Amino acid sequence: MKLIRVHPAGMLLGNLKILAIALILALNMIGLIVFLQVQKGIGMQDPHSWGFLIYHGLIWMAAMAYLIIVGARQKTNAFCASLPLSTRRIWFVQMSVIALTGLLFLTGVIGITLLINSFATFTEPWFLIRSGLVVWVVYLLSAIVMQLVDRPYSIIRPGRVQILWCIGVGLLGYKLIEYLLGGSWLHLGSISLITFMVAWGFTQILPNNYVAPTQDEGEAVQAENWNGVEFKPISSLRRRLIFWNLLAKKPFFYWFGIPFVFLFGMMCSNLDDWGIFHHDQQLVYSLFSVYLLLAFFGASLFGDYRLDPFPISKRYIFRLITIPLLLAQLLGMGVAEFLDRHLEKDHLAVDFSPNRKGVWRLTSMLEHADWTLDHTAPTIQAPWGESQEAWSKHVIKGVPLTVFSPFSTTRESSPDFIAYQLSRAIDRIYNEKVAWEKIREDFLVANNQGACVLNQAGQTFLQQLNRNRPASNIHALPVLFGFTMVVWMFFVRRLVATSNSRYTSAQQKRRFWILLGILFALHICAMLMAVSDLIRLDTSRTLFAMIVNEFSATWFGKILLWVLPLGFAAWSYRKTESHFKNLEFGIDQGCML
Amino acid sequence: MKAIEFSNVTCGYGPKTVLDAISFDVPSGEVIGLVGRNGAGKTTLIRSAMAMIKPHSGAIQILGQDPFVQPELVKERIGYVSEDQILPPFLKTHDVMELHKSLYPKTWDDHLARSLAGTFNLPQNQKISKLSKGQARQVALVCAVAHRPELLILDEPAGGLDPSARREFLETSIAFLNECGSTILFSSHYMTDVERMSNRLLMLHSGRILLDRDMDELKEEFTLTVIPEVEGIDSDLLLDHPSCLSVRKRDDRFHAVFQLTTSAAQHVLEKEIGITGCPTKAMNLEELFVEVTGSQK
Repeated sequence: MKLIRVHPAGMLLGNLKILAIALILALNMIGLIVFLQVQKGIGMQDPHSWGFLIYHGLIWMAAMAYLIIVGARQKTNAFCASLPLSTRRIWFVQMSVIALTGLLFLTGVIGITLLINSFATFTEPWFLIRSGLVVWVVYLLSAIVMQLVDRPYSIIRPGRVQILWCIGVGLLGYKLIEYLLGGSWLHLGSISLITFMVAWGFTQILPNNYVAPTQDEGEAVQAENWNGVEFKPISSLRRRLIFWNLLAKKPFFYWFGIPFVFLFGMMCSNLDDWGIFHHDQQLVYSLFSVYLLLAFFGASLFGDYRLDPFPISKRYIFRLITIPLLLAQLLGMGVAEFLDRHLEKDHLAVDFSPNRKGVWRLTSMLEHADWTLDHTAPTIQAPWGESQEAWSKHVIKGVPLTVFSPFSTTRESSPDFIAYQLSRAIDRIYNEKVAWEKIREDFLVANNQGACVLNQAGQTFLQQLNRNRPASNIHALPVLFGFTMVVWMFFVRRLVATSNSRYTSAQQKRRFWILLGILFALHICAMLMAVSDLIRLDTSRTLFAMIVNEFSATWFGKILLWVLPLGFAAWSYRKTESHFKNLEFGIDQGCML
Repeated sequence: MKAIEFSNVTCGYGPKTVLDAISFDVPSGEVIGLVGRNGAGKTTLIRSAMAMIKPHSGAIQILGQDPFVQPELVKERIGYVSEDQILPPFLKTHDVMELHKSLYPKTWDDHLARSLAGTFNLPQNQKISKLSKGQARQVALVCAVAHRPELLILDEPAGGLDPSARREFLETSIAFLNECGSTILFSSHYMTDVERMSNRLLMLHSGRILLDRDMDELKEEFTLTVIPEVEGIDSDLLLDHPSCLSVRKRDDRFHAVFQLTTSAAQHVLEKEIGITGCPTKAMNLEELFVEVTGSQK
């Protein structure tokens, strides 16, 4: 125990951050399990979509990489190295700390998850415990293997190798997700055996003595002749890049992070389901985007002290921090919208096709749905008296606002009624008048089970109509971008408000973690609310598409749609910028006397 | 014109007050040495002057301007090097100087930069991360001096420099800039440097100014006397005399500092306090620092 206290890895055990990360992971795990249950429930076994993997992989990857890097990076310190101990013993102490921390951490995650699970049963406990043990063994294995980097040295030196290791651990994070999906006792046994063998093998190749790296603080270098050397002022763009890199303690993480901001920009913006991301999760992805943006902003804010000596204004620094993130977010949204506009043309605006359960039904594009403030959707009545209640769903449970599809059909609808609904939908969406009798006669037939289906001619007809329709009129980008900006800037203002010498370093750091925690909790809440049917994300999205479509119908509305959210975002940005002027010395250094 | 003016400046971190209502000013062209024990408030004072930390109360004027209104305009006229300053580690020495040239386009002096870099034997095309700590500090010093600032602020500039590089820097840069009329404020734990280079001393202790004197006065005006502890003599008796600045007890003796010449101190001890046979001697700055700051609670 005494050795654990003096070994640098020992700091892992007393690190409260681990508890916070465990809580976050537990919440995330609930989200993950709930998501899988829902997917299974609706017969959609597709947890391997990119959006899903990136989202969950990122969180697991970050947590595991943090633990491994903090615990495994320093093999020994000067004090431990000075004691009469073999490297094998030092190694054993370090691995014990890592194993113990991992076990405590995962116990925390599983404990919190089980606690939440006991209120609303999402999964069976053994599934969680088994998965947790698999994660723990894989974590230990990766920590052991990581010791191979810079094998003779007492510390793994920061550099490309370490970065590659981080990515390796990240990839491992993806695999962990898969284990979580189907982690069995066999998985656990086989990985434990591999870990044991690797650990034993590793103890055989340990160096006799760890040596300190010599290049840590650089070496005196030979002088050169400065006579006649020219100094050319560098360009403003290069200067910005230098400052931007200087803001980050580890610039690599910025370059690594910007693509993620871009990716989440894409994920939160697409309105059409084109199969890569989960189209109902815009709110979840938007809040996670803000989480990422705030995390990067905070990291830069803490590096602000590096730029303080230079004659540059706070406004310059604020823009230096925010504009690359903003551009990445905007570019992601823009690319998604661009792809949307091309891919959505392939989707039929009016379609009569079987759903996943094989039931033929009429579907139309989201923006052509309707809403009512009555709890129940209106009844659609055909001229001959046949009637049917429109398909409807609430947006928020208990609130009368209801979204319904005026063109919906069910398994029980008669062929005439289906033809009537198709005729109405074609009229409304394509502005094309086709008599329902003609549709009934030419395009609808009965299949072997006696169900009414669309024949080949009907399909060709609908595709033809779709080909001629103009591209979607929806401009969701300004609204989504405006929303992200306003929320982000709100949180930034809260963070900047304490970034001055009236608050201690601990208070400032606490504020940062609390704000990040709130955002993370919000996005988990959004996910849970959606699953628990409290707020339906699919109907919210439909309502959003309808409102945007309504505005896009006129030039005035279109202008409003762009000007209002972007204007609000710009106002929010300027307001935050003016708060940033009062920023004082960065918190990393601010409390050094 | 005053280069630096602090009026009743109180400053701190969270609830902790680090500078406690301090006031002083520095006329242009003066070299002022800032000394004090760790935690005395030297760095905080310097950071306030650089508009990095806003005072809780009081006012600061730097080169006739409020540094908190448009800090970048004030910083353009200042050269600054601190102990924990971070230069872009991914840039080469030459690139760092080009970066500084672009930040101070009007005043940057190529010739001076070349000359200082040559004096320090700096490599041109080596990344900052590959330089030794001392060499990296020298690069920062060259960059701070080469744009011929009106005010040079140095927070522990000599930390990490070997004695010869330290002397080289102080004698070349500080003396050069001072000859050009620049004002220099530097904090240091090297009393010999402060004694040699500055013409005024500001000693801080617990956020207050303990001493603010011209260096010439300091060398003549302070006397140390060592008094054995005998019955009837205690620190209060000594401190009651207006010229006694501090008393520090070491083992069975009192070390008392008098703000007097040695002969005057001897006279006071014998005639006014009634202690005879105690040795007195003039103090150098290091002794003064140890005695005065060591006696403070």
